[in-house]
This record gives sequence, structure tokens and C-alpha cells, in this order.
Amino acid sequence: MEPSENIQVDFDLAAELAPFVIGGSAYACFQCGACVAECPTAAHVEGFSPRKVVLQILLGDRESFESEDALVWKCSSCFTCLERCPQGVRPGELIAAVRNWLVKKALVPKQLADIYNAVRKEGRTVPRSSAIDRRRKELGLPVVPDAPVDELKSLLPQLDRGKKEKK
Amino acid sequence: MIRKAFFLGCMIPLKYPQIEAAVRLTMPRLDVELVDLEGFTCCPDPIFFKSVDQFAWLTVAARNLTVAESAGLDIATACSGCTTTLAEALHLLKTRPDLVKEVNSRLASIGRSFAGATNVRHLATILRDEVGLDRITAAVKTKIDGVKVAVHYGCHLLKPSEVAMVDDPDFPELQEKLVAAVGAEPVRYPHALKCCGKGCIDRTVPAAMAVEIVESAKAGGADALCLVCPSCFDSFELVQATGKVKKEKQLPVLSYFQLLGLAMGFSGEQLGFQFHRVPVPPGLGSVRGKR
Ligand code: SF4
Ligand code: SF4
Repeated sequence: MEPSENIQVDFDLAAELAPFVIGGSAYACFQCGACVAECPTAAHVEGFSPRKVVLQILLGDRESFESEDALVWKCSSCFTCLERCPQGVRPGELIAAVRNWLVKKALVPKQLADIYNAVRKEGRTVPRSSAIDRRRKELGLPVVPDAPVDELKSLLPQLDRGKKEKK
Repeated sequence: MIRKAFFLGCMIPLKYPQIEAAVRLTMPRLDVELVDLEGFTCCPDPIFFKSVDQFAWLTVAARNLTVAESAGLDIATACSGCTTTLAEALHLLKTRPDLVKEVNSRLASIGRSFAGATNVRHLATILRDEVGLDRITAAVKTKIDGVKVAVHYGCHLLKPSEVAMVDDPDFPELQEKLVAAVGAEPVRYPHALKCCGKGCIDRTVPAAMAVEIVESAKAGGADALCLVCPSCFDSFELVQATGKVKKEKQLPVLSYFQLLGLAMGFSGEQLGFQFHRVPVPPGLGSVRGKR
């Protein structure tokens, strides 16, 4: 659809996404494209544009989102679009909301699931290694304290990745 | 004396401890005391973790804030990712009572409660606003004049700007000022404000983004890339180590705290240059060059 046509908003998808939206609003978007010019992902990934993501939300175009390799996973969360948007849409934040919604449907790229689980189980995204322990010693640095994993486990629910998680 | 809770995060202590070493060597000379508190976890990561569950992200960030609150200290970080997570969480919780309620009901299960009694700043910002540029210049012992440094800002030190409140996101000066304060020469190049690519989930795109920046900085006449974020550090070291940038176009990658350390007279070895994948040349105080 061209931006000039009237947009028939799909309120169902917007309502489904609403609980995941912390900031921003797709409804305020007038499809000006100011968010696209300096989007690094748009410059590198064919077909990606924050303007289009917002339009797809408004149109309720679920198909373009519902897969683990959907374009919406390519955003690099640089937040340049938040600076550019004259309407306070916060496209980068809406993309995070779409991702949260996809995760609830068990559509989550492995890279993300691994990071969530690492924080849940070890409290950190980078595992300890003996090589780094040696470097720390050489640099005269103290041992990295253990993270309070008990607290994290009670705060963070287990991630459901559908069938893929069972290994 | 400036006292802060030192929030280390994950990348610095567990992947690039040379950045931590540089921070711990340099800050005391500027009368900044960094207090190590028990109980911090991953901030958590503002891109991938947040993409999985924003409310979990906010809850874990709020939990980290409560650790500093209990100690009665503000937080200092050396990572733009940690800064953006903690500062954004704080901003959300200070402006959205509904989120405070939700988060505190979750935190109650571990006997914690967010009160909003702490603040979060990147050490780069603290150097400018609390330590002062003059004080930095006064602490310089070794002249590194003539070293041309391409500043890479990284996204999350500055953006979203209404949360970061650090500098103009389009015309920032913070890092140039910090570099000039130690006597090096800041170099501006077209890609100075571009994203390093770290946050993009793709097989080829992140490397392409990082290569563009390195080549642009090199073409701008820089001797080194200088930055304040371990994720950017990781992007530029990895992309060059894996041969995606030709040898003659490569640039050593330095954390600003390492540059500051050099200027204060610490050796390349103390600052961990021996662990860099792109060798730091003699003029920049490399351990190899000094032997
Ligand atoms: S800048 Fe804002 S209003 Fe313009 S297209 Fe992007 S999201 Fe819509
Ligand atoms: S946050 Fe995502 S959509 Fe927005 S400018 Fe950055 S890469 Fe593009």
C-alpha cells in the first residue's frame, strides 16, 4: 500500500500488541519516512524500514512478523529513529514490543533465547572463562563475584521456545 | 572525593578486562572512588534481553538499582549498554507510577523494593561534569600530542537523548573534549555517529556496519579508534581480527580509559594492550614497542 492511501487500521493486532508497548504509539505515525533516512539496518538490509514496520502494525499484517527470521529481528536498536520521528511514535520501541509479542508465541531466535537464559541461570551474558580469569590476574584485577542467581530465577520465568527448547 | 557504585556489567569484566584495569588505574588519580558492591547482575542487555521481555528487563534493571540504593550511592558505568538500560529503567520508573507498581510487586518476591534513590551516569559523562576537563589535563604526565584519535560515539551513550541527557545526539562534543583534554588530537570522520552493528541479528550485516566505520576513520587520518563502550570495542576488534579489514586499513581500538591511562603514564602492559587483537603500535605505548 502507498502511504497516500487511507490506512484501515487493524485494531485487533494493535490491541494484541498493546500490553507489550512501553513507549510510543503506532497510531501517531503519518508515514513521513523521517525514521528511515539514517536507519543503519535500512541501509544494509533489503526491504527493512522502520516506517514499514509501523505500517505493518497498523494494517495488522501479521504474516510479515510471524517467523523467526522476520525482518523485524534485524533492527539494531540504535534508537536513531526515536530521535528523528516528529510524532513520538518511537519505532525502535515498537519493534521491541513486536519482538516481545513474537517471543510469547514461541517465535524467538536462538541468539536471543540464549542471552535470556544466560542471565536467568548465571546472572550474566558472558560466561566465565579460565583464559579471562588469567588475564584478570595478570592485570591485578579482583575475582569477579558470583551473581545472585537465586534472586534472578525467582524474578525471571522460564522461556518457552515451543518444541525447539527440548534438548 | 567523588564516590560511586561501580557497575561493571558483563562484557568488561568477562571479555575485555583491560578496560576495567584502565578504569581502576585512572579513576583514583582523579579522586573518583569506585565502590564495588555485592549483588549486581547483568544490567540486563538493552537489545537482546529487552527484545525477549521488556517487563523482565525492567524488573532486573530495577533490582540492580535497588542494590545501589541500599548502599546510598549513585551508579557509575563504563559501558554504554549498561548506562542506557539502567538510565532508561530509572527514567521509566520515575515517570510511570503504573510501572513502579508492577515492578515492585515482582521485586517483593525477593524482598526488594525500588524507591528511586539513585542516579546512573557513564564515567565519560562523570569525567566531564563532575571531575572536569581541567582536572584531567592536570593529571597528564606523558605527552601523547600528535596522536590522532577517531572518536566513535556508539549509539547508547547519546540515545534516546531525552533519557541519556548527555549531549546533542547529532552534534556531540563530549568525547572530542575528553580526547583533547589528554593532549591527543580528535579526528572527525563521516561515520563517527554510525551504529557499530552489534545489535543486529544477521550473519553479515553487523560486520558490514563495523567495516564501514573503521575504513571511514582510517580515511579521516586517524591513528586509532577511541570509544567508551565495550560492545563497540568488541565489534571493531572482531571485525578486524577476522580479516574483514585489509591490514593497511586497520586501526587499533582503544577504550578512552586506556588512552587516559597512557596519558597518565601507565604502561601498555598495565593497560592490557597485549590482549588486543589489532596490535597497538609503539607511538601509542604498545608493550611490544617499548621492549
Ligand atoms: S518518522 Fe515517525 S511518523 Fe514518520 S514514518 Fe517514521 S514512525 Fe511514522
Ligand atoms: S532502532 Fe532499529 S529501526 Fe530504528 S533506526 Fe535503529 S536500526 Fe533502524
